[in-house]
Amino acid sequence: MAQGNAIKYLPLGGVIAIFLAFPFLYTNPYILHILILCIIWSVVASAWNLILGYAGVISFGQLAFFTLGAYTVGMLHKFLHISPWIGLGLAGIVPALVGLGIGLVCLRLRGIYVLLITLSLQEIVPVFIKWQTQYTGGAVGFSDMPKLAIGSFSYGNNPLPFYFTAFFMAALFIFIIHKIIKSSIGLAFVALRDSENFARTLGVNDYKYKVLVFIISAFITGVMGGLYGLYIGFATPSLCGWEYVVILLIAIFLGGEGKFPGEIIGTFFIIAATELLQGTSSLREAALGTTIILVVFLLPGGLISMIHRLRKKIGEGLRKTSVGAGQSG
Amino acid sequence: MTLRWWKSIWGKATMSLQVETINVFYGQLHIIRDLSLSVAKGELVCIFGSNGHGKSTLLKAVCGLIKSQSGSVIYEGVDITNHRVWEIVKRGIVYIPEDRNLFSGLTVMENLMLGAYLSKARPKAEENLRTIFHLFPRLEERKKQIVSTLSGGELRMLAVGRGLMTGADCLLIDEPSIGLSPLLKTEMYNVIKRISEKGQCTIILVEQDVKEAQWLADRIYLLKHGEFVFEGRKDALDEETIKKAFL
Amino acid sequence: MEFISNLGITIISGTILGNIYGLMALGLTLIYGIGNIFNFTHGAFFIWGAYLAWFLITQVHLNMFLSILLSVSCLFLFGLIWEKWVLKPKRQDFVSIITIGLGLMMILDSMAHYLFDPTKKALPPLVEGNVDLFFVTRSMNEVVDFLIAMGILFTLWFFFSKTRVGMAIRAVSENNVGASIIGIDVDKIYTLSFAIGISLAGLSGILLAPEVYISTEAGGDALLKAVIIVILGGLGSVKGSMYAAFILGMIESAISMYVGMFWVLPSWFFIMVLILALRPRGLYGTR
Repeated sequence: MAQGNAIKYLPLGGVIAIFLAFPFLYTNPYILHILILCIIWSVVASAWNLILGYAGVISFGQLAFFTLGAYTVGMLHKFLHISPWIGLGLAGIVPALVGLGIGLVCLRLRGIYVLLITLSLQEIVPVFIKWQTQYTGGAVGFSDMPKLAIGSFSYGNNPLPFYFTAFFMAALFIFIIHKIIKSSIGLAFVALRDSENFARTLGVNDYKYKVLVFIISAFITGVMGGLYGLYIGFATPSLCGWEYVVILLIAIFLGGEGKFPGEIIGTFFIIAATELLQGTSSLREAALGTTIILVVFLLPGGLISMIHRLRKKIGEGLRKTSVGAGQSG
Repeated sequence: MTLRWWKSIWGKATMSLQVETINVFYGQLHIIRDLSLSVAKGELVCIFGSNGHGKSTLLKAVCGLIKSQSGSVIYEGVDITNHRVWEIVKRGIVYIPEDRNLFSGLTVMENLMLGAYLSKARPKAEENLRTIFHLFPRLEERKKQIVSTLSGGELRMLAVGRGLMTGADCLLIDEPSIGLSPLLKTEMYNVIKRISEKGQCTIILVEQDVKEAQWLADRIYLLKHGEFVFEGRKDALDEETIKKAFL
Repeated sequence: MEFISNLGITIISGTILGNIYGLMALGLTLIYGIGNIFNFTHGAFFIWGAYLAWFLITQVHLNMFLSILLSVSCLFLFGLIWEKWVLKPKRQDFVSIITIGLGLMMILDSMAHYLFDPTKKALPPLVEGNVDLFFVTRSMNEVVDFLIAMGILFTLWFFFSKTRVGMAIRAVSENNVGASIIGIDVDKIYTLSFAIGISLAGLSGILLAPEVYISTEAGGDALLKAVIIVILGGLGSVKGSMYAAFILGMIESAISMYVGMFWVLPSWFFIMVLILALRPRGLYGTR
C-alpha cells in the first residue's frame, strides 16, 4: 500500500525537518556549535562503522584520514592557493589514495595485520606532521585555515552556514553509506561476516569489496576532516590521537556495533556529553578509557539492540490490547 | 525402586566411568541425545558409528573439551561434568584426539616429556617412557626429530604415547587408525590391546570400522544420530544390527 | 679516523639498541603468540616501568637495583590481576580485547600525565663513567644496559627451555588444545604470559630511559616500534623478533648517525609497508 510505504519514511522526514528548523528555533550559537561537531563526527563514526561493523575490517586508522583531510585543505590553500571547496574534495582524495595504498597491501592479509598497519598509520601521521614544521606548523598546529565562502558570502566565524553545510554533506554521505549497506555489496559483507566459509563458496570476493569500501570510508572521513578544519579554523596533530578513536568507538558500541544507524545516535550522545562535561584533559582521557571498558562489558549489543527490544515490547503490548478476547494472537 | 534405579546404584558402586543422560549441542544441532554409558575398571569398550553421528563429540564431552548441556559424567565416584579439561586429566582421564593436537614445533622427546607434565605423572615418567618406546620402537628411533617431520602413522603413535605419559588410567582414544595403512592399523590395535591387557587402563575406543576393531572389545556400543542403538558383548552383535546402525 | 669512529659508534649503538628492542618486542610477541591478544597497552607499560623506577629512585630514594625490581614486580602483579579478572571473560572476542586494551592505555597514559607531570624526565644512568671499546668511547651505562639485557634474554631462554612452566607456555603457544589435554592449566598460562609480556615492556622502558627522555609520547613510539619489529620478524616468532630487533636497531643507529633522528620512524614505517607488501609473514613468521 502506498500509504504504508509513506508512513515508513515519516520518522526520517521528521528528523530532517527538525534539523533544518532547529537553528531558527534555538539561536544559541553554543548549541549550534555542539550540533555541528555532532554532525561531523557522526559521519566519521558511520564511515568507520561501515568498514568495521559491516566489512569486518579491523581498522583503527580512521583518525589518520580525518587529520590528513584537515591538513590537506589548509595546506593546499596556503601553499597552492586552491579554493577551500576544491580543497574539500581533495581532502577526501588524499586520504583515499593513502587508504588505497594501505588497503591494497594489507586487506588480503589477516585481520591482525590490518589492525597493526592502521594503528601504525595512526601513530606515524602525527610524526610526519611534527617533523615537517615549516609546512605543517609542527606540534603547535596549522592555523592558516581559509574561510569558506559561497560567491561573495563569506562564512566567517558564523556557525549557521557551517551548520547547513555540515548537515547537507552529512545527509549526502550517510545516504551513500546507507545505500552501500543495503546494496549487494553490503549484503555480501553481512554474509561474509556471519558465515565466512559459506559466503566464499558462493564466490564472494571480499578483497576487492573491502578495498573499495575502505577507500570510500577514507574519502568520506577525509572530507569531514577538511570541513572540521575549516570550521574550527586550525588543525593539530592531536586530532590524530587515541582520544577521538575511543570517543568514536564508544559511539559505535553504544549505538550497536554494525547496526546502522545506531552509531549516529551514539555519536550525538557522546560528543554532546564530551563537550558539555569539559574537565581537565588528563582526567577526561581516563574517564573515556574507563567508559569504553565498561561499554565493552555492559553493552555487548549496544544501544540500538536495546531500542529494538523496546520496540518489540511496545509492539507486543499494542497487539495484545487491540486483540479481543475471542481472537488468536 | 525400578530396575533402572538399582542399576544406577550398582553402577555407581562398581563402574569406573559413568555417563548419565548427557545432551550435547553444537549451536542448534542436537548431537548427543540423552546418552548413557558405563565402563568398568580395566574394560576395553569400543564405540562404533559413522561420521557425524557424535563419536568424537561424545569423547570430547567426557574429557571436558565440549560442554554438555545436561546430564552428568562421573569418574571413580567423582562428578566431573563440565570441569576444565586439565582438571579432568588430573583425575585420570586422558583424551587422545583424532586430530592429534601435538606440538609440531617441538621434538618427539619434548612432546613425550610434556605428556608427563602433571606432578603425579613425573615420578613414573622414566618408566612410562620405556614402556612407550617398547610399544612403539619407531618413536624411539625418531626421538630427537621435530614432530612436523613425522609421518601420519608416527604422529598417531606419538599421540597415543603422549597420552600414556600422563599416567592416566582411563584412555579415550579417537579413531586411532584413520589414515593408517592396514599393517600400521593392525600394529596400532595390537598395541592398544596390550595396554588393555596390562590391566591398569580403562579404554574407550571410538572407530568407524566395526569388522576391523571389534575383536579388541570386551563390550561394544553402536552410535547412531547421537544415541546408542546397540550395547553388548561382541558375540551378541550380528550383521543385521551393524547394517541398521550404519545406514 | 672519524669515519671509523662514526662507524664504530653506529655498530655498537645499533647492537645495544637492537638488544633492548629485542626485549621490548619480545613482550609483544609473547602476548600475541601465546594468547592471541594484541597488547595495545604495550607502550603504556613501557613508560610506566620507567616512570615507576624514576619515582622510586628519585622520590623515594631507593637504590637503583631495588627500584627496578620493584617497578617490574608491580607491573607483573598488575598484569596477573588484569588478565585474570578483566581480560579472561572476553578472551574469545578479539575486538573486545583490543578495545579494552585501548581503554586501559588511555587510563594509564592519563594517570602518567597526572601523577608524573608531563615535563620530560630522565632516569639517572645506572652507572657513571665512560669506557673505551674498539676505538670508540661509550658511556659505561650503555654497556651495563647491554649486559643486563643479555642477562635477561639468557634467563628467558633458560626459563623457556629448561623449566616446567616455561615448557608449558611453549606447549600452549604451539597448541592450546593439546596442552589442555595433557593437564596444563591453560588459563593460568595465559595469565602468566600476559604478566611476563608487560613486565618485559616495562623493563625495556627502564633500560632505554637514560637514553631516551621519558614522556607519554615515548609510549606511542615504543608501541609503534615494537609493532614494526614484530611484523618484520614475523608474528608469533621469538627468533624473528630478536633478529628483526637487531636489524632495525642497526638501521636506527645508522640513520641517526648519517641522516638525522627524525628519519628513523618514517624509514621504519616504510620498511614495514614493504614487508607487508612483499613478504607478509616476515622473517620467521608462522601465523
